[in-house]
Amino acid sequence: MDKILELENVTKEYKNFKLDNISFSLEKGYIMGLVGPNGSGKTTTIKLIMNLLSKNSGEIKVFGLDNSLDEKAIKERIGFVYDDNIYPLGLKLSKIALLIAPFYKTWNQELFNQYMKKFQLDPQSSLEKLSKGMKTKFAIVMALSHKPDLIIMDEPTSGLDPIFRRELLEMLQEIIEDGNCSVLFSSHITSDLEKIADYITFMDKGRVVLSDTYVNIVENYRLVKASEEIIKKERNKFLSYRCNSFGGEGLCKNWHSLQNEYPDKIVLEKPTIEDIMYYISKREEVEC
Amino acid sequence: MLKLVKMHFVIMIHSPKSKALLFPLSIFAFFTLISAVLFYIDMIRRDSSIASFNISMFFPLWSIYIFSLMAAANGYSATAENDSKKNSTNDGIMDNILPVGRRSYFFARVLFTLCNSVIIWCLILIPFFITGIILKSMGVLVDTDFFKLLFFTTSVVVVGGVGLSIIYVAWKRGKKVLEGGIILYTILPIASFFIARSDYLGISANGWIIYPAIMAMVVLMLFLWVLNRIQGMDMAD
Repeated sequence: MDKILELENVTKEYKNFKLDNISFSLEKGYIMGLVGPNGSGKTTTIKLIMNLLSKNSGEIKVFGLDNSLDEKAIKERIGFVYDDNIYPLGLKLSKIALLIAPFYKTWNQELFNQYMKKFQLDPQSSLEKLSKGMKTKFAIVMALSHKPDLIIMDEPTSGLDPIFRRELLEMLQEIIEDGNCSVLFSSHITSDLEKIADYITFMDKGRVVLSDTYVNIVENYRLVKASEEIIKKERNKFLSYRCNSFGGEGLCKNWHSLQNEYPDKIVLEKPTIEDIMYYISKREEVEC
Repeated sequence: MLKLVKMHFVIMIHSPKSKALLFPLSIFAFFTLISAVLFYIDMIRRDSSIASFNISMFFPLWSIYIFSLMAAANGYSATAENDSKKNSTNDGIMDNILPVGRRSYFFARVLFTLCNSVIIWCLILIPFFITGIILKSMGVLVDTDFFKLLFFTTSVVVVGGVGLSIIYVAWKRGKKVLEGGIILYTILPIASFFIARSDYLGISANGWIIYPAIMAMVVLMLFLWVLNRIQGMDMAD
């Protein structure tokens, strides 16, 4: 399969933070969700992919091209939605489009108009008068109007109402249906990712903890509910766990052995992405 | 590259901060320059040597005007692109997600600042040269040293402005440019005027053109040096 995005041992060091040997890849025609707690390095990773930051070491390839050497060719094919407004506030939406359009060979004004209509955005309104959600909608329109092969979105759904969030997710699924477009999508709203993501990459403290297909992740892990006694006895089998007066629960990868050993004493549940994110980020601070 | 320069100008013109600053500044500049010219005309009829000396009182006013104009020109990049103060690193992201090479981006920023500086240059020089031409046609003796001094002063400001844009793009995108611009564009005209007045650099001889030329060469070398290291810069940090 064609790899549309490849990060290999990418490192970026700041005074108080280090993105440490990040490696993951995304294939053509798929959606990858980038999840992790605040400060885990999601936005830094996205900025590195977009070459907004320079890496200290490692390799980033987009469409098989080096992201800093072939920056122009790569950005021509990327639609980018940032978690905050990046467009000039004093301008009308149509004026912003008029300024940005000449930079893209593939800009489709008809498509822009269609999306504006679909998202109920008035081209004559000024950007500063729009709400946060409407600004995000406009950023999405701008990202999609040049028919990108890769859409990179940093927390795009955070300011949106549930109805538009769902519409956006459906739209992203429609866009990737032809198999030519891929999406890298960072979000805190893990339920959004469960709806559309084919791949999930978990980041924590500047590292990639897990990067696999959504199906594999959900199949490989189980949320184990058992008595405190069992949890403590089998603690080494858990990624992390927590206990309270009613018993305990933890996230487990080798759950088959526990199932065989305690067939009637434990309850196994398929974890949500949020569960996995919670337990993985709590690995070093086990509660009991 | 020109598309990017055009975009910067459109954004600057429409930026709420620029708008708020530019209109009162234009009025301020107009009256300052007109009163300076009238003052000069009045003085030169009496004593040409004290005319150019007395005109120095207008330099602080010009300095305020110049730095405010540059603050307005660069102000959009510090505020207009940011939706909220929460994330101050948004500056320049729009430019940098566009399919534009880094060198083109860099040249566009330099050209943008150069255009702004040339506008300032013209704003300062044109009224004086027009006055000079009118006075000459009226048969009044014009103090050419004063025009040399003016050329020196404004050249230093313009070349310094281009130098600032290079430093700005290469190191601290957005963050310190406003403060840097204010300091530089206030200090440069005042300092260059006093250097010129003291004639330390031989301004009245050939220094009025030699020193801006040397400065321009230094800026050009800085420019070429920055060009070599531009590939590995953090553009949104």
